[in-house]
Amino acid sequence: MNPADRFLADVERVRSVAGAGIGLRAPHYAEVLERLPRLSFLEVHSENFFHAGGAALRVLARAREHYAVSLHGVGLSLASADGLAQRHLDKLAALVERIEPALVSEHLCWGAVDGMHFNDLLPFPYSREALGLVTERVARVQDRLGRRILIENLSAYVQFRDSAMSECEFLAELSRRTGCGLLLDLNNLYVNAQNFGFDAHAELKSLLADVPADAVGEIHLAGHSQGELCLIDTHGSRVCDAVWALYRAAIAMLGPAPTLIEWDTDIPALDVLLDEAALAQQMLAKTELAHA
Amino acid sequence: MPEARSLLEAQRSLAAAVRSSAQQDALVLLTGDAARNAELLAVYRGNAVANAGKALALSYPVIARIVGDEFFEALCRAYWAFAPSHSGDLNEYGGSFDEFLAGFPHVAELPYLPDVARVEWCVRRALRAEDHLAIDAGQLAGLTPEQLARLRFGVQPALVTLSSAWACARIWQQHQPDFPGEIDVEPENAECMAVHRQGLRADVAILGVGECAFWQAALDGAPLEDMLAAGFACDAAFDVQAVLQAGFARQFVTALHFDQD
Repeated sequence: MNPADRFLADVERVRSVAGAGIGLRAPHYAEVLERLPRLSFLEVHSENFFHAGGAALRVLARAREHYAVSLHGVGLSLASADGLAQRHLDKLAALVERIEPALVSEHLCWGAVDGMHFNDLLPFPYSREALGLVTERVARVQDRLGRRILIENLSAYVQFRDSAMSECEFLAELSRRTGCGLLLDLNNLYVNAQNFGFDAHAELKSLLADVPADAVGEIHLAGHSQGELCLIDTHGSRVCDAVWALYRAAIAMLGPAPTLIEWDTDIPALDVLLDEAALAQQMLAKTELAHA
Repeated sequence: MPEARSLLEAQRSLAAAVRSSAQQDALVLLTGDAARNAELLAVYRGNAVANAGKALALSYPVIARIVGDEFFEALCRAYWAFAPSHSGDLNEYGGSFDEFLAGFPHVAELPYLPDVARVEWCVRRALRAEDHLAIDAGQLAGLTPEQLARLRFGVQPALVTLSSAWACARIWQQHQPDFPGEIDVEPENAECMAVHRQGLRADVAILGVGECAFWQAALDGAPLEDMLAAGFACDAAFDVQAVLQAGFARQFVTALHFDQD
């Protein structure tokens, strides 16, 4: 079977939540459950719900009664050369079973080696060796979870001599080989384009020409900040105009896609997130008309 | 152009740069200006330390309040050097903070800190333990002596007993954000305590020595008879009624099991 055909149900699920969502973070738990704002989905970091019980899990379970949920992993470390953490994968599988999420995603990165974890999203050379390894890992994760996962492009501050291809070429090939979907983080793409001096729009166009139309299962939008040396992917401010422009270009090519407003540091009032989500929703509505 | 290295070698080199500032092996892997790359690798190092620090701050708010935020940050950095994370789930990070504090000379004048850390780690685990359904003390009322002789208590998954040479339970209680009074603890008072869940909330209860032995026996799976023996062995004036009443009110007990002959 074509790897992509295995995941028709997951592709269908993506269509069902092809609107704007926000990250559900602890400061907003009570308010979201009380107000139940209109959103296509809520996204959480998978690892924060790996435990057996307690208040946070109760919140997620209640949120799940009203919303589709996206589980976004930050700790699986798919590209670690010395092994995939089976216990971590088992916990993710248990959470997927418990929450029945619409979307499950992870990053194209590594974070651990020799038993030591940096709990960060670290880049690696986009080599043939790495492609083989990550292909095998993604296939293993999808087999374990029994569903398609989305892999997110990274914001990185350094580049490797041993890279044989660009990150987008790597992701496109990974998707072709495993049937995995892509989580297109447009802020990350923009940050990298600025830091490494490439054209984000050209890169986006070439990526989308390279993968099947339904490969992109989600889009992330976030803010960044200007560091001393480069742009830093802080997820701590509003989406900038240049990233909105990339977003309009992306959905014009793709059609409507689940779109997350991602905000992890200096978390503002819920209404600020909802404002950003409403902006994304307006742009999606226009695209929908154009695609209708 | 240097020879291609394996992915594992590259990751080990980057790990050394992030972990210990040993950047030489990592720098040769990167394109662009080496001096700039050295600073960028330091950004990754800063992220790793900051992420670990945020996790510790969530698990050890009382320690942070006692030592102040600035010193707590320094503690986090030193702890990261002492014990790196081993899990992709940062919520698991920090289990050996007590051990680190016990050996860290700059907090030697606060000798109760390691035990406070132990209490906080148990609280953290309690908050994330499996949910429980407590049973009512009334369920004991109708039991026959023959049933009582075969009785074992099932207890809530979060329950842990601790004893300390220091007044750690009071220290913990008085450093809670909702504690109404002024902080006023004599640390030099030994205490026994139970960390437990009350619904979704975690709490630390001060126990008598006999009471502590009694519930520890329950945690060990002992029958009621042995729980009582443990209680009286530590405290001749052990008050069974009061201890059971308090334990049920704190939702310690979730089931009554009767041994079959």
